[in-house]
Amino acid sequence: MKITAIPDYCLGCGLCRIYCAAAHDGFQGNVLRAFKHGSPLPRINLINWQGLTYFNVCRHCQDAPCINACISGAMQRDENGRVYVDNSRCVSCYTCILVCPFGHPQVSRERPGILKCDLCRESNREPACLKHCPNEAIIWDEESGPTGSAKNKVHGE
Amino acid sequence: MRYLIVGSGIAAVGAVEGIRRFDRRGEITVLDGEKRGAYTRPLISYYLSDPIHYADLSFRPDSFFRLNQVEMIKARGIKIDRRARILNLDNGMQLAYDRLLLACGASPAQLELSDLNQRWVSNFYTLEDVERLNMNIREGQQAVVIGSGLIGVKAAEALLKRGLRVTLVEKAQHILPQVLSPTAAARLGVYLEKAGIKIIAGDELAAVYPQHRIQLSSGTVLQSDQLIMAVGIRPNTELAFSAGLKVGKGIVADSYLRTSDEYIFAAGDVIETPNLITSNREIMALLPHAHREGYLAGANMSGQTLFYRGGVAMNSVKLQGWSLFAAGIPKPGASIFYWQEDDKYLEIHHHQNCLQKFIAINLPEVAGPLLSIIETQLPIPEKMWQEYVECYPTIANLPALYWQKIWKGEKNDSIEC
Amino acid sequence: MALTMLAPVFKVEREESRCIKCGVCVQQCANEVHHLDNGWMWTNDEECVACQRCVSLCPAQALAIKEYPLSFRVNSHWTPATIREIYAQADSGGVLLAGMGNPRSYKSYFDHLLLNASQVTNPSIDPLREPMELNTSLGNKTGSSELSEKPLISLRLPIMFSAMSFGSVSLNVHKSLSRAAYAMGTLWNTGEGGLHPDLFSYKDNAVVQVASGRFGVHPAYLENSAVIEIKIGQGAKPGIGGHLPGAKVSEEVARTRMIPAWSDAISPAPHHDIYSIEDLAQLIETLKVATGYKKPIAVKVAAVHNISAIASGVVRAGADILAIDGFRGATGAAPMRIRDHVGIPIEIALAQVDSRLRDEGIRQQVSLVAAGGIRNSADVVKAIALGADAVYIATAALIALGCHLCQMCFTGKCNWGIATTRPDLSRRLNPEVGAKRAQNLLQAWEHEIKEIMGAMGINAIDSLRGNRLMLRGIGLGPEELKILGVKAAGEEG
Repeated sequence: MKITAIPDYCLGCGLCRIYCAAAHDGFQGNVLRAFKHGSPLPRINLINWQGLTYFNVCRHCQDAPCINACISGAMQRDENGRVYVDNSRCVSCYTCILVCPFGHPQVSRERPGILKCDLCRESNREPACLKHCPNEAIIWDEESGPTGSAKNKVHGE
Repeated sequence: MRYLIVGSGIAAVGAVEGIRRFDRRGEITVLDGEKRGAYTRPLISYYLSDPIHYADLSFRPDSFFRLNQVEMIKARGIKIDRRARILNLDNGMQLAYDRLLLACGASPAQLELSDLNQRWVSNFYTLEDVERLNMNIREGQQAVVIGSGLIGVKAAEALLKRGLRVTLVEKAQHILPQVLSPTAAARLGVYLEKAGIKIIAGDELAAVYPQHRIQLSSGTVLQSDQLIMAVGIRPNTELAFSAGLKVGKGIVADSYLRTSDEYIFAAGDVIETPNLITSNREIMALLPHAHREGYLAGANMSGQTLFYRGGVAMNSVKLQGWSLFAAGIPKPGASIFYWQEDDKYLEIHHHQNCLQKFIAINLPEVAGPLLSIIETQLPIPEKMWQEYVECYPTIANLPALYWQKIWKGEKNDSIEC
Repeated sequence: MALTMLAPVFKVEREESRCIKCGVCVQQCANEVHHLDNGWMWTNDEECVACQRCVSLCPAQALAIKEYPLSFRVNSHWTPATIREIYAQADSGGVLLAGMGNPRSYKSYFDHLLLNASQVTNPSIDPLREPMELNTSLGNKTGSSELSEKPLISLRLPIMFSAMSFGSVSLNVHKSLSRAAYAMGTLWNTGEGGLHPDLFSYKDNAVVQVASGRFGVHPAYLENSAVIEIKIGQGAKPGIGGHLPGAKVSEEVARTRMIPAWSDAISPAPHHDIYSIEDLAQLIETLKVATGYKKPIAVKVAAVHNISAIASGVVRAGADILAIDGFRGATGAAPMRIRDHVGIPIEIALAQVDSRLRDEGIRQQVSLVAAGGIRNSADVVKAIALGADAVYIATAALIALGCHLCQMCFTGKCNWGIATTRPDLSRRLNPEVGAKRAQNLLQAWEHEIKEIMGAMGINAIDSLRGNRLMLRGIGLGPEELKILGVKAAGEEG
């Protein structure tokens, strides 16, 4: 289960980040509540590279290094394969940041713990970024979805 | 298939996950030598800093072993009968096994000094150590931490947070000698001194006297209400050694985590880990490696043949609000590139087209990609690193060759997988 | 430069209590209207063209675009627009450029035509219960359809996408329309800018144009098509050639058009090898020979004063399909005076041509395609009742893709990724989305046409073609009714 974005159709508008922040931390998708009356914390990042904008989102790896390296058990996988962080357990050792080859988990300045994409598991709805992308550039990555056993490789070679 | 795992730490958890991925039925028994059940060692400094907040040190839910149908036995293994494939336990029991995993971990290294058995001298390795410390320390006391590895600095930070006056003594010329370069250590040192930790580098503990006094090699005498020994670790190889398995600095295991006995595997802090860059085998007591080794050993015990490439030294730590990331090892003759701005710092060691080591202070976003560049030994020309530190080193500015691999590559899963 | 007397046309209103300073408007506006400096949002209203991109994307609904409150003293002859145009020309000394179709308030004959419905004496048909036939064949129907010299093209519904060249619009527009045409069993049109190799797979749904500039015309181009269309004129600018500014001629456009990149692409006003009907007949024959008589040849002309005589000549020259583009047809760029003042309405031209061809007994030799200002399914039905076999839509298709009719296509800075070749802007039209929306539009119109036909008691579009008894004029004078060939509302028929 993972999402991805097609750089050819990514506008770089950043709406995904805005709706991401509003979908978390109890803002219930209300952009004004998040940005006018709270501290919005987007979980995803956009990276401008060679004229295109890339969507740096969690790949929810089959063999997630962040889960394996987490010293406190805060990084977990839920029954749907989504990798999420339980910030009540996180001790901010940042090992997950170090072992993620994509540079996805981020430090939050506003509070302890880390920020990472959890595919909006708390709202139990479609990921907010995917739903609100004005150009439908964010899509489910079917190939490596929950049934993508072809990619079900394990550590080692 | 009967699996027997000696030890209940990270490597054991990894092994249970590895076994259960391929074998749902086999019987797994875990020998838990801890008085307090399984926990992660790196969490003990957090526990000391705030025992109430960090009361729970388990890294998997309590139900982990039960859900994986693991039998837990509170005992230690004392002797392996390799011919009969039986392990004798310290409680008199005997356990037969088809596959045995030695994940016995390590113990704190000790200095060759007398008078270390004082009430005010402690190790900083187990939960019992910090629980005892927790009872004994008082605000305003003078604490001296010997050794400034990661354990030492985290201990110092925890004691500082509890209101003690802390002195950090390091034998090498700068703190975190295995992790940082002198330049980076100097920056961190200034910061830690400002935060209240006194640092004495290039000096070591020479004598311990009664009345809370210690003397360093240079002759300096320090008052020390609490003396914390954090001078490194020593793998628990006794069991393997007595069984006649090949043992060097740690247990010697092959690329499939098998020891010199085909039915006995080993993983975690107790083994010598192959260094990905130098191919040397060395003790690399790091949590991510322990889990991976455990996982691969478990998988291979169940009949897989998964190859272990080894790992590189890597560390991430948050100290007094600063985030510190480092990985790789310095290599003589490497070109070193520096970048710094305010409290941010980046150091990149480049040798023969490959990234050898990096140190990133307060630049978390680049840590993961840089480690993956080291691990995969992605060839990147020196000029690109030169350019990288000349502009602002953000994640987006990373050398194009890295992003090409990420964006244009087929892989959209962890590169190592 | 001295004082310009041009005041902004639009005003961007930002509700500060809603604005979250996210910068989406700044990032999205190619006209650089929005600015964010250290937490301070400000706008440059002069550059705003009211394309509504920022309004649509603002996640806080903080934006509104209004007319700039600049009041001239009331004058019904010297309107504000007229005054502004003079200021602009006094500034620049140049021809005024304009995009899209004629915006002036000329009479729309579609809005003065009403449709019939069945009551008691003849039964209406429920399209949900009974089959409705919208299948349309285009081509010369005088021979047996088995003869390859007179090939026919079959459409699932009588609506096609009109010509828009790659260069004037982005490749993603072509991708969207070609996929929608394929899905709906109809045709799309390359315009005069060539066919991008990525779209060869949609050849069975492609009308390829041969225009005065001959851009992108080569054997594979002619082969990879369903229909070849000779473009003589365009409703938005009859008698005027085309001029694609060099800035829009990207590498990709250049390759497709077979011209040097970043150089102006100029289509001459006339075809320099066509000065008579006989010359046209030669080109038609040449194209037929070149493609082995397997494809119908279409000729597209703008609706001008003596359109019926022209149409007669074109049919006699051998055209299988005649497309007539009315004066509301749109363009990527045209001199404003030409766009707004030249040509005649498609409704009039269509009725005239259909009658003339019938009178001359050559109506069966050609299919008539009406273009220029078709806005909805009712316009389609009215056009067919006036005599069209099918219609071309372009403006409606672009609106479906996101066009907000700001009419600034010629700047190449289309914020909706339509009339631009800038990669960062054309990226804004995801062809997956565009194809779905264009397809939805055709599907919706298909349903509506079936409803309208059912109400009339007609179950096949063929029975509606040229059936002007299904129309009644309202608010039209006797001369207009005569030309349109329809009775006035209330007249028995």
